[in-house]
This record gives sequence, C-alpha cells and structure tokens, in this order.
Amino acid sequence: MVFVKEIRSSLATAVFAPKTKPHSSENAITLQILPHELLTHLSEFLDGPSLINSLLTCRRFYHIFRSPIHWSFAPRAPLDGVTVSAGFNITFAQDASNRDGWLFDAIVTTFEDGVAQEHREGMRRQGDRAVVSRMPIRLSPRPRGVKMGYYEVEIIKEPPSRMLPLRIGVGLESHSPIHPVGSKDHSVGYQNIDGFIAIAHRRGEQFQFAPKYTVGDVVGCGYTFEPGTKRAIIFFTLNGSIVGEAPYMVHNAPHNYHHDYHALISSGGPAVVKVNVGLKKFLFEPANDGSVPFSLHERNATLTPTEEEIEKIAQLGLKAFNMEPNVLENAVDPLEAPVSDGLIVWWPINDCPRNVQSHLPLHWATEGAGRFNRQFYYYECKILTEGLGLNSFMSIGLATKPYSCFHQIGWDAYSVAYHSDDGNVFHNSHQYGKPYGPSYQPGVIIGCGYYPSTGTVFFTRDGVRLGDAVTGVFHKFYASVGANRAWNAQLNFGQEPFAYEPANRDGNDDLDLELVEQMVALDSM
Amino acid sequence: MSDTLVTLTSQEGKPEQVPRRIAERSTLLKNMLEDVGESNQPIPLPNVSHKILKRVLEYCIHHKDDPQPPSDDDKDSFDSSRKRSDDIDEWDQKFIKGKEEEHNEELFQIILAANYLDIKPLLDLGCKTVANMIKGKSPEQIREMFNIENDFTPEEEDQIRRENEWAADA
Repeated sequence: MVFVKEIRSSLATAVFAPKTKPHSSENAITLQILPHELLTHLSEFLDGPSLINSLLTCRRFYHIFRSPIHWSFAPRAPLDGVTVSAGFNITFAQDASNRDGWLFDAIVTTFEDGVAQEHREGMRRQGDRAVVSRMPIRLSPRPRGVKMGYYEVEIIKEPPSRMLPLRIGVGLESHSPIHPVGSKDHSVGYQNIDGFIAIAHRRGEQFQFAPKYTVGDVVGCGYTFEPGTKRAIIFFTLNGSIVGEAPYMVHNAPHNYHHDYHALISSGGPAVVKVNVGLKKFLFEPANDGSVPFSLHERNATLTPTEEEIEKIAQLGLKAFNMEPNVLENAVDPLEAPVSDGLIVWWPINDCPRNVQSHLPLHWATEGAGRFNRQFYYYECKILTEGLGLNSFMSIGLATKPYSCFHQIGWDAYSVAYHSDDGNVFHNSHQYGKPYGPSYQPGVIIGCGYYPSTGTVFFTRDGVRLGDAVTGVFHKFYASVGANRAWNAQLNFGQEPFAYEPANRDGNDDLDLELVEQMVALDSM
Repeated sequence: MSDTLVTLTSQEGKPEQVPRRIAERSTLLKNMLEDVGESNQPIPLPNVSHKILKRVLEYCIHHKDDPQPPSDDDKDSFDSSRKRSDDIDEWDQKFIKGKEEEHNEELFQIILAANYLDIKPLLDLGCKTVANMIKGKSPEQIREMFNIENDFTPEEEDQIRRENEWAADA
C-alpha cells in the first residue's frame, strides 16, 4: 500500500506547507496543493514542450519536472522480448530464430528521373524491435549552455548474427516498435555490422557512413541546430569522437531534419545496451561542457587570421599548410588512417574512404606565401598512383572543419569536391553529383580555387580551368582530399610553381584595382 | 456477499451507503474490508469531503464492471508503459469536466481523493485532464490557469528560459 503511506505524508505537507500567495482571493485553489509524487505522476502524461513550459512556471515545478524518469526508455505497450530495467538498461531478448525473408508494409512506386522505381516501404525482419525514449533528446538533462540534444549507448552484448543488426539513432515518438531505426517515420539509424546509415526519408535506404561498432564501443547520437538558420543536423559519435552527420541531401532534394527527435534504439536479435542521457558524464566532451565552443561547421567565420596566427604563418611560411590525416580524436581509430609527410599522402587499403585536410584554412596559404593581392586562393593535387579495384576513387576540394573522418569530400554539408570516378562535382550531397569535367587518373594535376568575394569554387585540370563548380558559398574552407583503397597524391600550396599559370602571378588574372590599392596602402603603413 | 452495503463517513461526518462491490473500486477500501471482514461499522474518510465523495462514488458506479487494474506494487515504476493523455473516453470526459465555475478546485480534490482511496484509473483520469489543460499553453498561461505564483528571480527565469529555448523554435 504505497499510496496510503504516501498520501499521509503528502497531505500533511499540503496542509501545513506555507500557502503560496494566491493571485486573487476568490480563487485560492492552485495546482500547488498537489503533493510532490502526484505532480511527478502528472508530469508523466506531459509531452516535451508542455513539460518545459510547466517547469518554467515556478521553482517547485522546476525541480519536480526535471526528474530523470522523463528521459528513461519504455516501450509504448508491452513489447515481446524487450525489457528495460532502471530506465536505461535495455535488453532485447526477442525470438529471432525465424529469419526467413523480409516483411514490409507496402510497395510504393515512384518516378525518379523518368524511371519507375519500386520501393518496399517499412522493411523489417521478424525479430526487429525498437524502443524510444519518453522525451525528445533536445530536452534531455544537460549542463548549462550545452546547445545540443545528445545521448550515448554502450554496447554490452550484440546480436549473434550479421543478419540481425543493431541500430542506434533518432526518430519520432510515434516510431513503430517493430521497425528498425531508419526504416520509417523520419528516423535515422547507424548500424553496427557495417557502419552504414539508414535514413527513413529515403524509405530505409542505406549509405556507407562510418566504421562499424561492436561490444564495448560507445555510440553517441546528437541533434543540433545551425545557429541563425532553420537547419537541424543529426550527428553521430563513436567512443567520444564525431564520425559524421546524417546525410540530409541524398538526391537533388534536401531534407530538413526539423522534428522533435527521440532517442531510438532497435535490434534484430538478442542484445543488451546501456543508455546514458546525461545523468553520467559523456565521452563526447562538447556535450558535457557548454563552454567548449561547439559548432559542426564554422559558418561565416571571419576570414582574417589573428595576429598570433599571422605570426605563426610568417614563421612557418608554407610549411604551415601541411595536410593532416583526419583521424578520430581520443578514440581508438578502427581503421587505418592515411599517412602524410606534409605534402605527399598515402591512403591505406580500407574500403571506407578516409580524408586529409590542410592544417590551416586555404586562404591563409596565400598569405603565408607572401602574396596578398590575390582574388582567389588556390592549391593543387597531383595524383601519383591510383587505388585498387572497383568503387575506388578520389575527391579533391574544399571542406570545413570538423569533417567526418570516413567520408569523401563533397558528401557532407559545407563541402565541395571534384570526384575522380565520374568527373562529377559533389556539393553537400551524399549521392547526387553534378556533371562537371572528365574523370582523372594518375599523372593528372587537379587544382582547386576559391574566390572569397563571390564564394565561387572552380577546378583546373593540368593547368586548364574548367569553369565554376559552385558559387555563393561562404565558409572557412580547408583544402581537403579524400580517397579509398590505396591512392597516393602530392599536394602543392605554392611551394612549387602551379600548373595553372594565373595562380603563380603575384597579382591577379583579373585585376581588381581597388583591392590592389587597398593592399598597397596597407603594406606601406 | 457483494451486495452488502458499506457505510462511508466523509469529512463532515455524513454517512454514505454504497454496495460493497462499488466501494471495492478503491484499493484502500478493498484491503480494509478484507482485513476487517463482515462488519457494520462505518468507515471514516476524514480526508474526503462529502461533495467529493459523492463525485468519486459516481465514477465508481459507472465503472463498476471494469476489470481491476493491475497492481503497481510489483512493477518498477520506471518500466511502466509510456503514458498517454489522449485516450479519455466520452463519459469520463464529461464526468471530469464537472461544473465549470469550480472546475479546478474540484479537479484537484478529486485527484487527491483518488490518490488517497487508491483508485488508479480515476487518478490517471485527473492527471490526464490536467496534462491536456497544460498542453499548448505558455508558462504565463499555465500560471494564470492554475494560480501558480512565479517565485523565480528575473535572473533565474532568464537563465532557465535560455537553457531550454535553444531549440524552442524547432
């Protein structure tokens, strides 16, 4: 008889607690007369936004309504084989022995680029089960100033077969309990067996995304908003480091990840995972400390180096522009990373693409070379050897930092690159490239230039300019090159003469007299 | 046996006679009656006013044939299924609405009485109703509706608002 005991103590408090001052004397009844445990019970019926609005009303509600119970996981209805203990330890014990074939909800036919395509909507297996958090992750308990919703999952036991994948991600509260994450209702899921990502706005289509993960790994999934925009980004981490963001443009139409996302975990077979929504310290540091500046991409960042940086560039000269392998920080990198001696880069034989980025933003390179009065910033990449096998290619271009360690350039937001296999330019798109130039092979020198005034990116091939790839993009760009399967290339930031002649001139190919005057005036000061 | 009458005495000392199976909708009374056995002694309910007792009994009479809800005691409260607030049936909706002018006061009293008497479905009904009233309201509207005094300092309020609003325009 828990309730009786509770009510005795609570009635006492309700009667003897100092009455709050009523707003009007005739209507003295307030929600405050309810005791603590009844308010907690009541708050379980509130959805996320209502909960937030309620906790903003007064101190008492603020403390009661921030109870961790709200962020626990629970199946909406009893779900066969799935148990949640202490709110955050999820055990999938469903019978997954019946593995024959796929189940799906419907077949939908669409016309894409004039071709009829059949899609199986809501694909799943017999044993697939999904559990969702009670509250959207953007409301999860987090330290002051942390502007993201984030949670982490430790894999204790994984399903026994590759046919029964585990997926971690986000989805809507109404997500079906029998469909895997990423197959339905705007969900996005990162899969253990192959590191693929499944996205529901493409009807569960899967893309190469990041390394696979297994028992002992900690996978994080977060959700943040681009400051000053309406764009939301879903990103994933592995053992505390960012591995990439969910592709929001996989065809010619961008997808807006603007929903109230809940933490969502699904498994095709027996598995055990432990979830942390912020009641313990995260491995991913920016989620613990709001004072760590966190932005997935430095947008509209100032293009002017600080005095300290100018000094450093002056000291190092062009040595400051070495290429650095993009590796997972403070985590065991599951794949071999590219090796760089500064300007020559060797890629390992991984299937998964890896990339290198310049140490400093590209536009500082020109300043390091002492050539200020230039309109565009430029670097070149000479392909030395080609990678092995099918589906092996290189991408040369520009990207912001941090960039996913496991993607070709051009796939993630705020990146643009010229790809070697089809000669297409990829811009912020995982799947859709725009026909641009011929493909390229060993011996070819590809150049990449950027006009910060107009935000135009162009490429050159053996010293011949190929036309504008994109225009109107303004970011703090780093020279970035990605490849998979044993490519080898040499970079040039001006240490040697460029193949593209205008880039060697101290002035500009198309002189901007006003700018030159300004620069001269600055120099003489 | 289930037809025997039970006498309940409210706060004001007014007796109310109900059939035993109606009274047993309350887990508190059910356990009490099981412990006491056959007895004509009135059961005092000092925490419930007569008016609220009548309302609660009205609910119990309507729901007399419902299956008993499973006991909560053996379940980890973390693990109970997720709560919804949009599954109130028509009769309950009408019942809980009561008289307009004293709606809130009566609602809170019913919630308190349902908790005291341990009538889980009625307690949930009350909580769902409050939750539905809160839905879609701003903090100011909630304060006004439920007479909650804002005891945050302006700085605290500003800080809490900022903490929770980074994604509010989502």
